[in-house]
Amino acid sequence: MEFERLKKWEYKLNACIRCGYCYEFCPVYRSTRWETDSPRGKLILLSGLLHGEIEASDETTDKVFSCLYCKQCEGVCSSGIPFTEILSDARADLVDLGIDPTGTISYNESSHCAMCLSCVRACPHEARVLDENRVVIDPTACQSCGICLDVCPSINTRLGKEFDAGPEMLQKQAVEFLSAAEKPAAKAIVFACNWSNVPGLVTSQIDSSMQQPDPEYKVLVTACAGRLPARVILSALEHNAWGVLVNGCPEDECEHHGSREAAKRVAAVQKLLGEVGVNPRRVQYMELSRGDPQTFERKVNEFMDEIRKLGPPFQHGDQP
Amino acid sequence: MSKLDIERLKAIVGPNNVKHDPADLYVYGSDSSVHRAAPDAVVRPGETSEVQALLRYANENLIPIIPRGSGSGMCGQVVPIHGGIVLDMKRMNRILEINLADVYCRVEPGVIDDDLNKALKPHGVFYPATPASSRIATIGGEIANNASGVRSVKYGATRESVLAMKVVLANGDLITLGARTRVEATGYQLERLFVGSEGTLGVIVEATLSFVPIPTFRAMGMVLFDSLDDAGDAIGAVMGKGVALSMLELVDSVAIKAVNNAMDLGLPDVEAILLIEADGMVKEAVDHELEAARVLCEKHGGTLTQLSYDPKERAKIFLGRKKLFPALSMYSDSMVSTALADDMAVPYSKMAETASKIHEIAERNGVVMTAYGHCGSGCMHTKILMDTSKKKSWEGARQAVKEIYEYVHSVGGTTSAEHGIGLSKASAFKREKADSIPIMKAVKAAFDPNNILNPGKLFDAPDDWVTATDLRYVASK
Repeated sequence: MEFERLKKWEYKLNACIRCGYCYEFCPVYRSTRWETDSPRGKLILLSGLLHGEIEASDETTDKVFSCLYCKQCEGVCSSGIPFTEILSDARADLVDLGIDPTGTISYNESSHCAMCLSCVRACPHEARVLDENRVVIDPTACQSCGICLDVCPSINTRLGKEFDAGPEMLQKQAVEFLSAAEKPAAKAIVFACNWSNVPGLVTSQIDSSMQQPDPEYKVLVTACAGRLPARVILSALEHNAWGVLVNGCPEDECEHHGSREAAKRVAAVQKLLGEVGVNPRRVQYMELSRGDPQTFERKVNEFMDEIRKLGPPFQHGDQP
Repeated sequence: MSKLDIERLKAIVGPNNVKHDPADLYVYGSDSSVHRAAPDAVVRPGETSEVQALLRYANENLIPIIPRGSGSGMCGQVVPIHGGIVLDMKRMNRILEINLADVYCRVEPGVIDDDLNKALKPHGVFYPATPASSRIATIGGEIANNASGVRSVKYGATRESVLAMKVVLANGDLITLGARTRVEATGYQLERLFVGSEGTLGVIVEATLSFVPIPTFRAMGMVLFDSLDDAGDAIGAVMGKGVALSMLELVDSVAIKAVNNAMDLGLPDVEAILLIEADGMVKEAVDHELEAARVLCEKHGGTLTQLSYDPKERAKIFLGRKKLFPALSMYSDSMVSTALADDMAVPYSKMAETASKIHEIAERNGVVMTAYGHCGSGCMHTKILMDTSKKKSWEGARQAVKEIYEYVHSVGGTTSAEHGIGLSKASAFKREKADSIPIMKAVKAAFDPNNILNPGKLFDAPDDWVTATDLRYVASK
């Protein structure tokens, strides 16, 4: 029977009241702004697949396999829908049907793999396994956390789609923000882990003709703090950021071992900064449990207070 | 309707703002209602000129246009019953002006209600016509449905806050309605006509809205009743005496049980609860209104508890009401909460009787219904809880809906208080407004002679909502 696993979720698919509260908490929807990419949209698609109202086309399956498993939607769901459990079952059903998954699933860009198995060891979800002398990816297990991206010495691991949460896009957004600053003011980048924090849900735009205070920092959401490469942090400093704050989950709450990696990476950057005469406190790491925007704001404000006192980087007196 | 020229649509709004594959069309064929029907394309205009070009194209080719906000409507207003182009207006999301001296703001239709209030808050003012869905609802959608919420008893519905708007007509012409002034007596109030028009008269591309000061003091309390009738009498007494509350909410015993079952919030096990709130710039004024409400409620057997000015305490008191809607969706593992007969309004004196009647009708027709709502505005909410996989449930729901509206109309109530008509309430709407529907049709024809704007809704919707479209649920048993 087709969609045997999905069938058991029929009640939950019906119970979704389609309030749409999940929209703004979904990094995929925030990136594309198409309702089909939202959790609600995906539940509608799954309902259509289950009832034979739509086909398992490339477009449909691409949506089903596009999710960063941050579970923010589950936290705000009015109807208590276990979205990622349902999605995982639907993915398994689709793989049984022989579809070739795309979406956000990790893959190896080329066949030139050194077989070091770093990605196999690093994957927290056992999605990368050694099979007949090659690394294969289980698309039903991959949660697109991106931990495998930075461990590959050949830079060969990729995610199918990044939805603005990939390192390149983060770097681009950070540089754009820092470069747009005309007035001398403290400027900082806050890389917020999507799993622990989804700050700034404002989606509407204030018209540029209105006098708005020049923002001092920009919050950029990374899919997992653990996949934020050091080069992105350093790039922000190179473009005159006064500081960079990296936010991750408490280690015991991280589902991807990402906090540990992020803390190690920030420590390495701090060491490097100290060696070149830049105050290491310009780059800091903070842990924060899910759903605590007040603490997030307080900690960011404390960081900004400290950064303002330090002044612009690479100036006389900026010594560790 | 001519075949859609997808390339032309892409030329107007850019290739990244057009979707026409079956997956997208299936998703955009749904909202929060029971209905579904796929469009032929989804288009996201970013500028007024793009909306004008799209409407000119659609009008020339007789292609339906369905303006859509966030799709949180409960009656199928944005379900494209005749196909066509869904205009996803969320790209037009700029807050254009906040003018404190002249007490108005100008926004594009895709601005989210909560975003507007976040932008207004630093100025000490707020946009008050906020519905419960404010974190997702767009201003355009709220205007199209004349939305309102828990504080409508004091601040009114959307229509009270709309001063002016810019609208693109079916032929692509851009017109300005209303004025930015507090009062206006300059001909027909056409901006009011667009409030609640559900996308059938034109596409709103800009709205000028008034706002009010954020009150310095706000207090809330819970009044417990051992009898639903007593609670109903208290509502009439409070409103009849002109007590200026900012919230007066009814939660009945079925709703209390639903919330306690689903979330264990520990609401008092009584027959009815009234939540009362007053706000103002002077504490003594707030105290005065709440004391007046307390005296009147106690005269009708109510007991005031948990009165508090503290924001955290107030949030705790309101949590049961706030969680009611989601609690209903978790009522039982075999029942689904459907948005049917969801927002009638009745005279204050009939609130309690309406609640009793809803329970009686539900029981007779084999479905579960609860009664709650903004009774300070006469608004009674309910949902129908049923096993959506059974055809018998839908027969029961159809009959229950019919009987409820017959009762509501018989006591001088109205079909919809704040959710609008769309598809699922069209039959009741047509019965209630029978004598004015010819005029409404003439108005529609004047604005949209080719009937391209959200066709098949309101007076043109099918009489039987169950078969009007495919249902989002599959009833196979």
